[in-house]
Amino acid sequence: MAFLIRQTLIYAIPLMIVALAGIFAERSGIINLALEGIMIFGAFIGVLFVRILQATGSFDAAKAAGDWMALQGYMLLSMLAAAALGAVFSLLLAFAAINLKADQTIGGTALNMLAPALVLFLIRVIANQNTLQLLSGDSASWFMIKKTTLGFERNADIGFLGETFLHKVYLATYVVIIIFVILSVILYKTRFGLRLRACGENPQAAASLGINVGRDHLRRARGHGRLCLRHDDSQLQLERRRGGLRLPRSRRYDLRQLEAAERGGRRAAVRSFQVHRGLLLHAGYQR
Amino acid sequence: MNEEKTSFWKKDGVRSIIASLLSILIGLLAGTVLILIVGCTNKTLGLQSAWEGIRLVFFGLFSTGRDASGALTFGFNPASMGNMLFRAMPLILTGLSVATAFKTGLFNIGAPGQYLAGTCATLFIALSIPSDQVSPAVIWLLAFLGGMAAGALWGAIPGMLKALLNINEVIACIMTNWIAANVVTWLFDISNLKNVVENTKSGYIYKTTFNNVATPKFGLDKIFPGSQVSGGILIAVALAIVIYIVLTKTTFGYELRACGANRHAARYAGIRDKRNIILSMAIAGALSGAAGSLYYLAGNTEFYWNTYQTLPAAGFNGIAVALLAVNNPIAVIFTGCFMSILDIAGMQLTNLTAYNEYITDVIIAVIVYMAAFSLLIKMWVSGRKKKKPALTEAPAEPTAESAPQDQTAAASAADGKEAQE
Repeated sequence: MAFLIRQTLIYAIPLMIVALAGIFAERSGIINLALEGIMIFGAFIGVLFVRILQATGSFDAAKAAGDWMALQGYMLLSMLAAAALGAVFSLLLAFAAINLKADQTIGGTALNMLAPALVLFLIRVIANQNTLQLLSGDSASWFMIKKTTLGFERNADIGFLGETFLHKVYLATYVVIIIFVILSVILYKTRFGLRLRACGENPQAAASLGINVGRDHLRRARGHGRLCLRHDDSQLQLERRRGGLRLPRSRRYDLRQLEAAERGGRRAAVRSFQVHRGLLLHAGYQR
Repeated sequence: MNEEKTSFWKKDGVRSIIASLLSILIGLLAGTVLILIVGCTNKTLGLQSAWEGIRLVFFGLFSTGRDASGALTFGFNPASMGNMLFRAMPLILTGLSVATAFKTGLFNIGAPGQYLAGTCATLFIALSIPSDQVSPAVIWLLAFLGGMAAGALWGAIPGMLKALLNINEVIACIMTNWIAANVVTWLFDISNLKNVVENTKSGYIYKTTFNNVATPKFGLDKIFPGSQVSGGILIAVALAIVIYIVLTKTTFGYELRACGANRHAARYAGIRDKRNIILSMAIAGALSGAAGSLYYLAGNTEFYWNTYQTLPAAGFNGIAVALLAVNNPIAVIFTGCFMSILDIAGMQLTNLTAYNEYITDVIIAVIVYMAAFSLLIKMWVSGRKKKKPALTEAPAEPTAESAPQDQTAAASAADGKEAQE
């Protein structure tokens, strides 16, 4: 049972926060088809950031010192980095849709195409393969919080709740829940949230009351970019986590891809959003 | 549009072409910059290889490999040329599909699903009718028409949802895409068409040539020896011309475009808007279905049936093709060829340098991004000052080229395209 709830949380959290990102965009009047592209980009940045940190040796040092707080800090940092650059990436959509008043669906589709292409191009150059992995270890070994991490004995009985919420969990889950609550409150209980929703529902009316709709839209789009990214990073961890249980679906892409590549039909087999997502999730799983 | 025959530069067609060319140029420049950045920051690559990469991005179609001293050589490469035409075929057809839907004001993002539906029907018909009892030519025709019909059916579903229930066609299309991907996988999974003869291959469907069914080459293989080219490209071009005539020279085409320009005004004028929306999506679906159908009927391609988590790239690239062609069916032929030239360039890049083919995807994506505000470029080209409407007060009425937003979005879409008029 504890296992089931843990798994449910792991799958629900990313859906929850990316849905919140979608709500932010939709409520402010922007259809955000680019959520998926932003997620992919965030996943890439997250992995890249951890790789850079690992290259400096700080991970090994923290691990050797048993300093798990530092490791969790690194994870939060990587989430922040992913969120920040995801926000920058989503500015592309915001710029096209708001400043240039371009078609939002087309702009979103373009970003959905751009993100996997750019990311795969860079991954190929960086790692000379189609997946980007951590330099060493996987996320479970670096970031997973276990009983022993919290100072309990390996066989200690910490009760049902403890087993569910303290053992084999990631900090990201709780961070995301907190973000979810805070943003929900912002959206529905503050003046800022009210204005945001007003801009989405009736921009003319909002403008007539002196609200800067363009700026508000922009802020919204950026905000949700950040959201997606955070989501994404947590999703990575989820996928990684899942890797310990069974061969994740995404793993199969690689096999298929290899096979397709051998037949020279790689592009056809590889190039679609889902595959890319699979690849990246896989990258996350590896991480 | 611009009715008066003013100066050459102010003609609408010219401005569209220039806007598209600018989009292409900006896309290629983005690719160049990316290659330069990667080349300069990566110690193993360096400027020399960046220069090679850039040349391949622009002239990949004419690349003939490397000479003895390792320098890149360029010249007429019949195999690349033929492969370019072969790959252009599905792109032209899906591009036509998206363009036709755009003309009726619909954003057909469902091309991948319709492509899969067409592929599935075609392969089932082409492989399950025994060719020793029925003439292969008849089977080919049945398979092609069956593929188009399946695509049309699949496209009509979001069309009906849009026309009858007013459900946003973008959402419906995306969902039918995934339904198609899973249904096709399931159908092939329970079929006996999986290739078990060549045991080095797993997960593939038989080529249609196993049943002696293939598109005739019409001598194209003589012109481009060593390539995959088939007669399908001629059929695609013919279909593009047919669509052009239907859209611009017939009453039916006029009705479709009227619905796209303003659905409510069209209905007021006595045009049956619901019927036209459904028909437009069905035609779009038929074209996408034909793309899948012709691609696999060429006989030298095999279908990887386990597609439940992937959608064919040709479908999404059709959007780029249509946008770049500003929804003109004739222009789609050229933009389809251009996209497949980029494809070939990407392959050459992978084969000859340390860079990889995803650079072409980046370029295509940038082009689509630019196309999203190509009307702005158009205005800029014409040098006319845009009447800048207050940020929020632009009318949200969709033009022929912009997909209609759904109700909530329409209010805020702040679509500035009208300013061009």
